[in-house]
Amino acid sequence: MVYLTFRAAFNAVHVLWSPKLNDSENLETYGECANPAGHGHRYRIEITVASAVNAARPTVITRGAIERTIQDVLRPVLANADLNTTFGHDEFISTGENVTRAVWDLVEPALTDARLVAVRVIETSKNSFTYFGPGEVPNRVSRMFN
Amino acid sequence: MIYVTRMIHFCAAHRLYDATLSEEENRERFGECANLHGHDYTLEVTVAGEPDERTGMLVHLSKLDTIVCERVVDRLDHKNLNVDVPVFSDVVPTIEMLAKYVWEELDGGIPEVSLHRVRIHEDDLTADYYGEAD
Repeated sequence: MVYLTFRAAFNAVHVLWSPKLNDSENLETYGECANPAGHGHRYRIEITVASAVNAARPTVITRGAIERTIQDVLRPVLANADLNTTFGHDEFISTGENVTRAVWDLVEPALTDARLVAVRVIETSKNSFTYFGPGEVPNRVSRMFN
Repeated sequence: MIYVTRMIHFCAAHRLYDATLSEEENRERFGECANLHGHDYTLEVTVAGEPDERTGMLVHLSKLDTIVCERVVDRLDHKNLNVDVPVFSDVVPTIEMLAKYVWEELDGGIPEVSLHRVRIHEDDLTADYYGEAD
């Protein structure tokens, strides 16, 4: 099995605010991230795909295929977007955790040639989020990325 | 399951020197690292679990910072590890032992998540520790 990681970056705005919390709980939970006027990040996204390779199939996925996926599936949703609304879910809370899972949900069905293994969203130089999809994560896999 | 990694910087002085060995043996084993010198360290703490549906968060990053600072970073930052950190009075403060120390201080101390990995970068050298059970 070979694991290939592709990287992209998008600038986006968000406000951390949960409809399941009242105003004071929101302010207490999210602090400055709850500024209603919004703040932004350059989100660095890493998409890791895997497959076996051999002489007949020397690539996990072609660079063109993954770049098309990023262009077609991620760019329209993430580039200079409002993360609170762009995924089309009602009451979406745009934490790194949820953005990472939403990116997985966009990319996974769009990849036909290779299996998606991991999505990492690097929100700032100090924090990142990794998701390996629903289900059990083998130690070997989680440790390649964390 | 979501994995969240938080990075925190600190700097410290140390020397790799085993008091049970002779000066010559220390020089042979640790070379110039036997002299007191300093590093910039980056600590990465990775925790794992299911995010809270009400907040969308696995862990409150500023609360995680507070725990990591209180339990670890405040005790290490701008310190001489051999002199100022009791555990290293008779343990050589290598990056390996530092990673283990951080794990032991944090494991079980972060509410509602499990500690997945402690990674320490000592300049260009990196150590990963996943606990004794690994």
